[in-house]
Amino acid sequence: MAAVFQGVELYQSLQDLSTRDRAWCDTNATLIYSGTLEAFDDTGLTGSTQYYYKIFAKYLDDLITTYSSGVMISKTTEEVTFGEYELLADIIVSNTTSNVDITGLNIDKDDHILLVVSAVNGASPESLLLRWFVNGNYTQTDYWTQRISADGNVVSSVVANSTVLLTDMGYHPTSMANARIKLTNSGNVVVQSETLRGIGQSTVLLYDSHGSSIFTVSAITMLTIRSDFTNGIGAGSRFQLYRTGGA
Amino acid sequence: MLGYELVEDIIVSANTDRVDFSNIAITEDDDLILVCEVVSGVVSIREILLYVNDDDVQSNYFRQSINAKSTVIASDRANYSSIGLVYPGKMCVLRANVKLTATGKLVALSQATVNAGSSDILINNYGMAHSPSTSPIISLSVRTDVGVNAIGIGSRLQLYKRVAEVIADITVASNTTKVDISGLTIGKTNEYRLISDILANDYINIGLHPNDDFSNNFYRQELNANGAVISANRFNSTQISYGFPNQRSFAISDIKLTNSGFFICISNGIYQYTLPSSMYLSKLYTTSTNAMTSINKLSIVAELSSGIKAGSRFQLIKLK
Repeated sequence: MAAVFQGVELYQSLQDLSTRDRAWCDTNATLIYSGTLEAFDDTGLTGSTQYYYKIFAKYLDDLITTYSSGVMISKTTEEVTFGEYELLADIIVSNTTSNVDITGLNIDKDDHILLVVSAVNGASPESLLLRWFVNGNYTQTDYWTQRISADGNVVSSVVANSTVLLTDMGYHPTSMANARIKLTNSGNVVVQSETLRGIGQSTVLLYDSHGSSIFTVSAITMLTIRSDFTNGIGAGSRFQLYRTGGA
Repeated sequence: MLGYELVEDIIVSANTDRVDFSNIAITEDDDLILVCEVVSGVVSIREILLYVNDDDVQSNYFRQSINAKSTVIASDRANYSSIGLVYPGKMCVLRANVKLTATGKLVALSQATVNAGSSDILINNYGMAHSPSTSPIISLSVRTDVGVNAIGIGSRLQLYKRVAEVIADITVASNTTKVDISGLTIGKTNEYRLISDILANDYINIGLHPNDDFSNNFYRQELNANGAVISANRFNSTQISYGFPNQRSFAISDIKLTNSGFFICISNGIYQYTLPSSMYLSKLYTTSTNAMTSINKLSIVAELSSGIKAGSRFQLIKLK
């Protein structure tokens, strides 16, 4: 009586299976498919890893299940690469200062930039402000900013003919901002900033600002963070600038 | 390769009714960022809308907004798919996080700078949800509420997809109080993002705790919009989201260890987006009151026992 084909069994292993029979595989390898399909996709694999596969045909021969000697193949998966933000600048202020310049930039209209600010209050005035400027244009009236804040149960907003990154810093020792910077297709610079003032304190408040230049540029070559009081940027302040690819 | 890679970049060459991103295949595993600079093509104010898979039935969408115009703050909930607003002759620059949730519903969190480049600048923040499940996303369409050629020449729309590493992707198998993500090494040079899609079993607060610190060493300031009602408050706790009974909440939380070692979490979210006619939009900003050198573990904790229901999903992404 002729043997009757029943299907196949496909085993996967990280060990070489070339000399292994079906009984060994059944104990030591992973059965990943059993059936009669002609194609099977193995998913969830680890990158840069060599996998061994051995397939056995299954027969009924005089009502006894038998297996072929099997065929093995091996393949190494491709290396998995992940993207991450590109660090353009990481400045830790060692001495109290009034300005931090990030120079040598070439930010164009295709880019998306994130500026992460950990600011230490370097001066005493409660109304201490940090402002952002592009390409050395420090004319306040060339920028507009809309702000919204929540301080306890008080919500307020204001518009100003200037740039603002962090405001009223003098009330707290440290503040933080995530500022997303975009050079628009029309050449205006737009900054959307999410801010916490009063880091580490019970009086923390949130402060969001959206600012824009009313002049246009073809590229951002320099960013300046400037305090409006002398030496308002304290030692230990940190400015991390990233190219994000959208985020 | 950056944290997000470009899917499509469209610069509008003539005034148009719509800009479409087609031939895309976006699943619940993906997350997108849509950046739009919409220049007005008409003489009246228009809402900028986002449609998924050609579903242009407005009643299938809800949005909740928080807006600031000079000293006036307002909020609004409407049966619209809004992600921005464009004034006549002006430009709106918006950045929207777009996500297909664990149950296949499109949600978007958008921050729009309206009238960018002018003295009329104002802020519009939106949370938007699509009611039907629709997976995968095969098309996204940006239009306006009354649409004849409202998207002007020179508008630019860029769609990005995350390629940054997912450090943890946890779908909760059974109701739980706490979800731990261990084995982390988050330092002061890192940037992480947590995407939370939470099915809650009650009215709960959901906090994010670093390094097994479940004390009250945290403060948060929040800003909430519920329809036309805006409220704010400060609490002695950490929080990334609110939960509502048997409804889902969606939040994006940017996590940072400052140079002085404080844990910071900036969360933006929509709550009960599965009941979008009652959807909230909130901002929850948390700081620790103690400094640390690194974050080795993050725990997502419900205020009530078993408050996080099976099917909730948390994705932790390393952006840097």
